[in-house]
Order: sequence, then structure tokens, then C-alpha cells
Amino acid sequence: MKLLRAIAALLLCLMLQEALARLAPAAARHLDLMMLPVVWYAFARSQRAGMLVGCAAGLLEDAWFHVGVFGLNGFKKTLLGWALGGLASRFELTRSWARFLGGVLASLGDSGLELVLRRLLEEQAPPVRPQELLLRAGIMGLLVAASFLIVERGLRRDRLDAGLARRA
Amino acid sequence: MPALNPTRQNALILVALLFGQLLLMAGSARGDRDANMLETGLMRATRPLVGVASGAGDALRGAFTGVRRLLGAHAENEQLRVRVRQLETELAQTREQVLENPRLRRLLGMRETLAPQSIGASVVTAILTDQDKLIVIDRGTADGVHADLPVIAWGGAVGRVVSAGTHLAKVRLLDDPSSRIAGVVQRSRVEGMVHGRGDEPLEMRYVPRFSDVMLEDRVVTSGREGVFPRGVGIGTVGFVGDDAGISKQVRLRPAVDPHALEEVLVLLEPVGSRLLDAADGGGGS
Repeated sequence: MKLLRAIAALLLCLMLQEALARLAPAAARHLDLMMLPVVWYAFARSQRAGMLVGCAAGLLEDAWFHVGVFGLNGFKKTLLGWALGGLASRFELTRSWARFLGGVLASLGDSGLELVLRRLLEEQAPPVRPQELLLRAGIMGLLVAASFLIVERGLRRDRLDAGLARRA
Repeated sequence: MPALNPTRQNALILVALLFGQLLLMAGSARGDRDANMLETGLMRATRPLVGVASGAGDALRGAFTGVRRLLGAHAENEQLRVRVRQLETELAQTREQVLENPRLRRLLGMRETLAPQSIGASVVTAILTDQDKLIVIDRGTADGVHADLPVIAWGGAVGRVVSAGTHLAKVRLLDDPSSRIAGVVQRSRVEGMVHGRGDEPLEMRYVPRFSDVMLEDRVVTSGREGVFPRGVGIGTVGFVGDDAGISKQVRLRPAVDPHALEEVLVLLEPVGSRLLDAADGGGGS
């Protein structure tokens, strides 16, 4: 069940990213929706879940949205899932601002890793614009915090409904 | 063999995953078939979903573009409507100028032929009731206009100034019931006094019963009342009756339509009995 949920989340994000890329290509550049399940699983589940989901998300991203060496995004997101999971196991990341910071770190880490890996692979790296990096990171932070709020509210309602049904 | 703690397990999984992906990257960089197969397999497996998403994205984009175009078209439509209104106004003004131009030219021609002391005036308003037939012109004492000056237009006599303010003057038209003007039948030189009768046609009185007056005869001013110069058109005979005692009953259609007056000429100096051809409206036509 957990595996199916993880796959569904990944596919949903893939679809949303594709739809966004079609709808507003400029906005899609600043919005890495494939990062959401990585952060979610790393923060809400475990380091291992974060890594595995990161690997799958990255490979899907490589397959659909990346031209060049296959596996680059998979490598990045696996490492990020592991790092974020480790962060979540050491710190209490239950507050919105902490999740926002987690999202910001994930985005900055993603950009930094991409730069390093491309240099190592001797691939041409896109020029780094600090403002753009910060914008992307801010958007990712907001997205992570918002998605946690929405999903948790939905889960809380489900549990409440289930409790009421059980009592009845 | 002792069980590994979760942190170590995770580290091992991480190393395995990263190592696997390094191999993938290396294979991909070399153009290895296995790497391509994984990529192709992933794409094939998720293609239907991505197709749906891209279709939905395209549809949404199309809808947004359509709405944006529609809004743009609406704004453009409004701009064009405003422009059409402007152009219509300009066209109406141009038409007005086209119509005004020959009138003014004729008036100018008249003025040049007439005594130099004359002034053109525009009709400000008209009072055209049963009992009063007056127009107000935009010239007054400041321009040398005073009471009893004759006013003419293209086509013939209009009336005479009855009162003058500084910049406006009232002109009593020929068809005003209290208006009188000495006229002569142009063809037969039969004289009479033309009376205004309000909405009724002008009447030429004191025409001898056996005098030669025919329908469509042209009647012009005789200059005998000392206001109008000679030869200014008054009207055309539209009715001749013999059963009015010693006089003929002669009715005229006015030469100038008071409803259509827009510009007139005020003669500023007494012209006496001088013959005035230019105000004749085409010299007997």
C-alpha cells in the first residue's frame, strides 16, 4: 500500500510537472515538482524512503525532462533524499517554517549538486544566477510548507471521519 | 553475522543506489544500450499519463490563450468603436464643410459684387412661429449692424434687421406677418407690395387686376421702400387669382427658405435703387 502510494505520488507529480511545462514553460523552470515527493518522504517517512523516492523521481525526471546524461537527476535526488531524511531524523521538522527551510535547502542543494555533477561530467552547466536560485528555493520552500499543510489537513479529516464512523 | 543498524543499512543502500546511477551515467555517456533501455522503459511505462498531462496542459494553455485573445479582441473592439465614432464625426464635419463651401463661395462672390460695405453673418437661431418669423445673427452694433438694414442670402432677400445688440441682431424675415417689401415682376415690371403672412405664402398686393402676371414669374425687389437694393429675388409666383376686386390676387413662393438659412449677408450702407445682380440667385433662372 505504501509503495503504491509512493508510486501514485510520483506519477501525480510527473503529470503536474508535464502539464505545467506545457501550460507555462517559464514558470516550470522555477518549479521542480518532482522534488516534492522526495522532501515529503524524507520528512514524513524515513531516510530510506526519501532515498528511494528520490532515486525514482530523479530517474523519471531524467527520462522526461532532461536531455543529456541519463541518471544525473536520479543521482542528485537520491543524495538529497538521504540528506533530507538525515536532517529530519535529527531535527523536529513539524513546523511550517522548518519545512519551508527544508524546501529551500533541498532546492539549493539540487542546484549545487547539478553544478558540481555537470562540471565532473564535463557537461556545459547553465549560468548560475543567484537571484534565480533564491527565487527557485523560495518557491520550493513555500510549496513544501503548503503541501504539508494541505496533506496533513486532509489526513486529519480522514482520521476524524474514520473515528466517527467507528463510534457510530 | 550481526544485524546492521538502520543508519548503516541506509548508508549501504545509498552507496548502492549512487553506484548504480553512476554506472547508468557512465553507460549513458558512452551510449550504452542498457542505460537507454531503462530510460526508454520508464518513458514507455509512464507515457499514457504524461500524454494526458500534456494534453491537459495544452488544453488549459489554449483556453487561457483564447480568453486572453477574447479579452484583447474586446478591448480592440472598444478602441475601434471609439475610432469609428471619431471618424463618423469627422466625416459629418467634412460633409458639412463640403456643403458649406459653395454657399460661402457664393456669398463671397455676392459680397465682392455688392457694395463693399457688407458683412457676412451666421444664423445663431431662428424663431419661426405662426406670428413671428425672426432669425438671430451673430453680428451686432460692434460690426456696424443696426436696425433697418437689409439682409440677403444666396437666392434672394431674407429680411431686415429689427434690432441690434453689440454682437447679435434680430432679423425679421419676409414672411413675418408684419413684413412689407416693394416688389416688381421681373418679366412684366408690374409692381406691388409683398406682405408676409406667417406660414402662408407671401402675398403681393396692390397689383392691378389687368396687369400681366403669370405663374412662375419671378418677383424681385424694386428698391422703392428705400431699404433693399433693386433686383434682389423675393419669390416666384405660385398663384394668380382675378376675383379680388380691383387687384389681382398674387401669391409667391419665397426665394429663400428661412428654415435652411445658415449664412446671410447684411448690407451695411444704403444701396438705394442700385441694381443688385449678384443676390439674384442665378439671374432669372
